Amino acid sequence: MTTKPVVLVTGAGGFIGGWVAEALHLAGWDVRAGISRWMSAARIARFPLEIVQCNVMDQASLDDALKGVDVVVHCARGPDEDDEVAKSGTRLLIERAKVAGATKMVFTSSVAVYGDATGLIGEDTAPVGDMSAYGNSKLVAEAVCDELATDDFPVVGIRPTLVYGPFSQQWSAPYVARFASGRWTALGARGEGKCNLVYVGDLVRMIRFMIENDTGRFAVFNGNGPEVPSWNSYLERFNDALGFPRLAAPDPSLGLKVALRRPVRKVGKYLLANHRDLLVAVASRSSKIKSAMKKAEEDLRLRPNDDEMNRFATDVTYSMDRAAKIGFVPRTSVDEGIAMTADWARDIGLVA
Amino acid sequence: MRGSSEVAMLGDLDLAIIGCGAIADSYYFPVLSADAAAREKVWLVEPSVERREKAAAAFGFRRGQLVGDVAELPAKVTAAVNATPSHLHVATTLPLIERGVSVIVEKPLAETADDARRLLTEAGGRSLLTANQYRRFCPSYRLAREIIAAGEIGDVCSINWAEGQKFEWPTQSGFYFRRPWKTGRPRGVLLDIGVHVLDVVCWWLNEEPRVVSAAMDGFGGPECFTRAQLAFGDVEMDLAVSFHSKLANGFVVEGTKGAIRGSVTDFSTIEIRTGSGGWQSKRGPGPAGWTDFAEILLRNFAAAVEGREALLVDAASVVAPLAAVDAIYDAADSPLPSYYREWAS
Repeated sequence: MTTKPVVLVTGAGGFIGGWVAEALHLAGWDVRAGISRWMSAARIARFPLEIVQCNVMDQASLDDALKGVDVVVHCARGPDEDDEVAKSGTRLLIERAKVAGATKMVFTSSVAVYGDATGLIGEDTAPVGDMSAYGNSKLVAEAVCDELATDDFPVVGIRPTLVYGPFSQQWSAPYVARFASGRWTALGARGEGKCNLVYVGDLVRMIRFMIENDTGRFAVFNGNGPEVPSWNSYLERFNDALGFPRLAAPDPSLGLKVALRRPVRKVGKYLLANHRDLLVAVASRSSKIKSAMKKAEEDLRLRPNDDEMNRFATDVTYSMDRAAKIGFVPRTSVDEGIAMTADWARDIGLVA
Repeated sequence: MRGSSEVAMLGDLDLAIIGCGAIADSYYFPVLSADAAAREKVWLVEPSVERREKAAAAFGFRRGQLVGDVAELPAKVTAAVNATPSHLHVATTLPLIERGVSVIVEKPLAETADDARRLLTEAGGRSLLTANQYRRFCPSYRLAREIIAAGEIGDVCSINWAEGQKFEWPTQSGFYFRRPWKTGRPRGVLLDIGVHVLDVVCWWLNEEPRVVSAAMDGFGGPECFTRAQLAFGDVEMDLAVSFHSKLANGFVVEGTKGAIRGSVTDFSTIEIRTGSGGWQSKRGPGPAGWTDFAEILLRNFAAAVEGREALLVDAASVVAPLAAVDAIYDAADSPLPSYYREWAS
């Protein structure tokens, strides 16, 4: 493509979709930021880019959003436990994009499609173990993309690893709060697993690369960063960049503490999912109960859970060889990515 | 503080609600519909037939009292709540004033101090105007004001206020983010959360601030984060407001003899420290639920229109915080952060 295409970003109210919309807008592209609800538009609305309501489950909404669009970057997702958006939404989006005359789609998938696979993971590695609902929804969407992609409407799936950077509510912001609390300790031997990080700017660059280059009818690529540190290394470097005191020595009873909190997490999750109104009513009647509930929630949020403990110790590396073969190489080192993330945390008042 | 609860909430007034959006749904309608006498006296003014009929059905308002425009209201309606989006406050309040209708305007009274002054000038002698600065009804904020006024913490030296939450207002129309901006630059969190904070502090200190420095992250659209250093005479204030995420969500008022601190979401209680003592929790008097404040506002407004009480929030008193908002927007820098610079073409 010689001229910059008109790009519709679905899920632009989210972390990755928002970044794609903002970065391409700043780069001078004609971006249409698709959101499902105006409530999610606050962040992207800081820039004077076009925002449209775009519900991938609704044909009329899609047809409006797709008018004049050349390329779709599909970042919208539904609830993890419900793959309807992944299945029916992705299908409807591709069908309507073709009708509207769009010529390509880039879809953000996830390395969750590999399940519990360990070791060196290439794009052809078969899933291992129990697939998470999230991973399953991404696999379902990839299958729809493969089915509907054509030479005139190629689709590229990118499987990002752990996407960190400004606005990451999964791999950046929670750790800022954890470090700030002083309750997070070094992980020691439990944190020597591989931390497959991709800075969000590198992911946007990869998406742009896939838009601008021929990738065939359908292809999937891992989206990893240029280095794979250990979890200890990532968390300690991030903590230092934020200016906090060095992390305290590993807690020898961390495993036991995680196990003891397991039933509390389960009960809390169940109550929140099924009896939220009751919890709110109880909390509103007694400030002591409200305070106790708040402290319990804070304690759980600021300390690792079982899934995290497993992740911190896992030896897995997602290969970037396939992307490198067509000329894409991520360039943001972990130190650079962390530095920009720390700047952001200071800019928006997460740390002093 | 409810005071006149022996009198009907709306007295003898018929009350028009202008706009059937999210604030009417969540704040005014529940209180009005819970009071059988008030419910009968409510008129809904909403151009969307669907919206006004839905509201009437949901809250039990009289179906014969639904209209599409203020001009269709009968002359007996002499009071109104303007619950339209803030950029419409001036345009939709002026026709009410022309009819001699007294108005509760949802906060902010207007988007600029000049617009607020214009409304006050037009209303002069014809209508009463108030604004829903509900924090002035909160027991915690009222108690803090009394403590400051009584000199219990000595002279106030500094105020630190950080308040934020992820934007979750169920706005239907997107007006929050995309609209014709006549204010020079789009306005975001400062006009929303910030106007509450500045109203409270101006009310506490009875003074209008000067801007020392300000920065915000609007890059051509409304900002989600504002940080400002202000001076209320000799009192320094550090203000941070955010739509990105939770901040400390508290305030600390340091005085020469002590300090007050509180949570911005605890409408009942603050903590006070005097001399060399520790922090002590104190509860302000009165109800502290969000819809309690709607009832206080409506009761006081009706009583003021009928000459039984003075307004708790005279519209003239909200001009100072709006002038502060104007001054912060005028002074604020918005440098592109490091993490965006690599993308700027």
